[in-house]
Amino acid sequence: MSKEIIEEAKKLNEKFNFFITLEAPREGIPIAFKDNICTKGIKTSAGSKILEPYVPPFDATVVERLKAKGFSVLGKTAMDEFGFGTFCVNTFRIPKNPHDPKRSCGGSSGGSAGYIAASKLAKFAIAQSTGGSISAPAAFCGVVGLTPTYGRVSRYGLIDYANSLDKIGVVAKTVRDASKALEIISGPDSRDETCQGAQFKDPPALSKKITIGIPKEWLAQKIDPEVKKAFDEAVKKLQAAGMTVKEISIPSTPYALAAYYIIALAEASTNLAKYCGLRYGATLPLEGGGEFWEYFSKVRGKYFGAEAKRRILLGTFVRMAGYCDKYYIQSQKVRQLLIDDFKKAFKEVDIIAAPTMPIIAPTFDEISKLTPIEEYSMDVLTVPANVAGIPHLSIPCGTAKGMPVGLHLMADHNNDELLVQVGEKYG
Amino acid sequence: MVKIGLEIHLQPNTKSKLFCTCSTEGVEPNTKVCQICMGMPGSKPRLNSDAFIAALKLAIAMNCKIHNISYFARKTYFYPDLPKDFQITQYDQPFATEGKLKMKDKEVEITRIHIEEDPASLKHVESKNGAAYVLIDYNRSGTPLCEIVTPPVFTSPAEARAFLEELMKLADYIGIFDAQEGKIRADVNVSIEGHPRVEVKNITSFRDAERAAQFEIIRQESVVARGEQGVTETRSFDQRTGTTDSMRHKETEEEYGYIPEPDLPPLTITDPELNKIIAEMPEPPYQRIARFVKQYKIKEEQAESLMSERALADQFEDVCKKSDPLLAAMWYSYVQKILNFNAVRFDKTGFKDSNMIEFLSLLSSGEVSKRGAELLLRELVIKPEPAKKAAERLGLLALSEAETKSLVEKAIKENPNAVNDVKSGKEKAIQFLVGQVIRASKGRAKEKTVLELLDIALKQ
Repeated sequence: MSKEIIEEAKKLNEKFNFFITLEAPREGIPIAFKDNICTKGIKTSAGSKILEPYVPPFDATVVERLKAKGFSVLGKTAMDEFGFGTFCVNTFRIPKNPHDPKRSCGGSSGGSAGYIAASKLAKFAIAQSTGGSISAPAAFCGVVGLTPTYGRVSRYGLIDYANSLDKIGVVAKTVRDASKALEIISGPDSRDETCQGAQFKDPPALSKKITIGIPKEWLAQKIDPEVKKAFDEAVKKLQAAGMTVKEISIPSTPYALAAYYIIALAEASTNLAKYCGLRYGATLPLEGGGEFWEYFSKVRGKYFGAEAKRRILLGTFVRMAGYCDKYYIQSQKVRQLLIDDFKKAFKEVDIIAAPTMPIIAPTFDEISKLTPIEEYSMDVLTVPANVAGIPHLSIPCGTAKGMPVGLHLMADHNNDELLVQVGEKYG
Repeated sequence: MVKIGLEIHLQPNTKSKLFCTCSTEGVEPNTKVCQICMGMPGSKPRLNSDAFIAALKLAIAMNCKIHNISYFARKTYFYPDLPKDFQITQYDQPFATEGKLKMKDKEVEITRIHIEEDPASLKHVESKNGAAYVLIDYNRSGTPLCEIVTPPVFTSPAEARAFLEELMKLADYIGIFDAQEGKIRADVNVSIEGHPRVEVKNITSFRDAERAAQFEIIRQESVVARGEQGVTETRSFDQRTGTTDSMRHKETEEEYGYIPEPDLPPLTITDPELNKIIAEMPEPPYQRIARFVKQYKIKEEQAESLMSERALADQFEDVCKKSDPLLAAMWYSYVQKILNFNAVRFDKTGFKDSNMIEFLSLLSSGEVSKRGAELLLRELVIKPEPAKKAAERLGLLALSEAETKSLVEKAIKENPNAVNDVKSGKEKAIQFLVGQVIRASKGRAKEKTVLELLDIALKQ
């Protein structure tokens, strides 16, 4: 079986660019990991030129846990540089959507989602989300994307984008596959002090009556009418399965996107400081002497991509004295407000539903015409759950213009099991 | 008027580093390192609670207000000794604020104490072709530091230095620091009337802290005397010349772009946990000095000197339960002379209270003479063993009555004139005979026994 998996991955990679590094493990069931997850002895670049030659000396906790259950590392999948993107184009290896190679896989876990969509043998792959990086590519590629509650899966060995937002999760063929994989990788880990949630248990079939809430503020966003139509069909299917559907309100929605980008970029700009050509990854010759900061600047200038540079600049700006209160501290307040809104909503409903993405997977040509703000706006429906740290699940729900559409389900903190039960019931 | 403030970095004596399990005692460069203290991508910090407890003890000893919840922060700046290019420290919410260090004759205000990680150490090397390069040793990277900040309350360099010494003694006394081997550094900020505040970095000893402040005062005075406008700046101390130089560029607090450390939960200590630590704290040195003087009637200098190590003060109190405190205090002063001479800490010697009690009893019973006692104690402190056994081995024990008697008889025989003088009522002559016997015994004859035996012999 593992031989076939390796052979298939090779062929798919030639056609769709899913992998940055492809291995041929002799033992275990080969699994694909997003390239920002450290694998001992195997290159881990986080999709960045500055880390392209980097080989970690240790395994991430999720890798360790999967290896202990008889899995091995098939390869490291393509992603936006450090997770900075929604379409998996801000990197040196751009994966193509298996449903239409002219289109994006979505990002930033594009390689993992594309691979699962195209493979006939793989059941799941490891992905990671900061602001929607599991759900977006899952929706665009037509696979299941499961992002757990923040703190239920150890981040030890995950190359940081924004530590208070980063979550490791899975993309899978079915909800059940995703659930089984999450059971293996979740649970407390003393090496990550923010990982304190209980281990996730693959739950039995749903037995209780469920109420689903749809935030009116979210449907008021600019959503492709055909995507909206597919979503409406999905809602009908939920009702047909015996669930009650009602409109709810998340009043802080308009501020979520801005708050997300400020928090994420502030943290990212500190996380990326260490990449300066001194200890990790790419270096430059030391000829010509000069001061250390001149060398650091040369390395950073040469190897960071344009989007990484933009995010470092923005993140550094919002951390500056005099601006920090206005942007960063204010954003943390918005984050709390959003959590409060969700808590209130979850008193009324068990699950919140919305379309995962406002559009179908765009073509590379369309992406090249987007301004950064337009690109950031594509995260409008995935960001609230990510900022609040609540678990969310994207499930394929029909098509629009022949491309997959995702149904986004969200549950309260640590209700990942209920989320999976409802997802399974939807089918 | 001169104003001097201090920013002290003290490394508590934890076995492992602040955020990983690497040992803090690396000798060979880059041998005590791991992915965490080298900031490898994907690694995450994990707090060593021993370091926090040590810092808490220091804050308690300095009467600080301790905050149940405080936060770690990232201080971002680029420097080759900083593996992550940010330092995990505490910023606007440190765990301890508003303290006072009580010393014998005054109190010094403490602004704050926080914990942070030390960067790696750099070694500048001159290569053969003349180009200088720098070697980085990550052994130091991630070792815990307590940063103690005082307001500008010192009015002279000597006063600032005295405070540093007092602080170091206190940290040693409460058991979180080794005054002989521990690492402590201080940045000094100085301003004189008419000159803005100048911070001096790169100071590695207390003596240099004093020298740096002395130089800065003279420099600032000459700036003011020339009628120039002094500038607020950070200067670097040059150990060789004893002068300070402007540092071309040093980030200011505004440029560090602090954010809360997102990999670490808030640093918390509950009241019951805190009370447990407080209950285990030793009596503060200034209080104990006063009590020793009152309770044991010893001199203040003696009490202060006993406080140089907690183990010494503790043992003194144990010994006083069975021995004369005045005698004990006197001989513990001698113990300290022995320690200084051998450059060794008392708590490393293994010298027990039973050793001292036996020693003092040999001395007061006359089994060992005063001169023999000094010799004996020098031996005992360095190689502790039962005092009597050591005295015997060294031939310091007093002679038996029979041995003394034969020396007495010999003295009587050899000094007929003195014997006659005694018999004719010249009382002083007996002292001469006593002296003769003691000299012949090489100091080992007990004076009291000699007198008694002479008395008996001469009355016959």
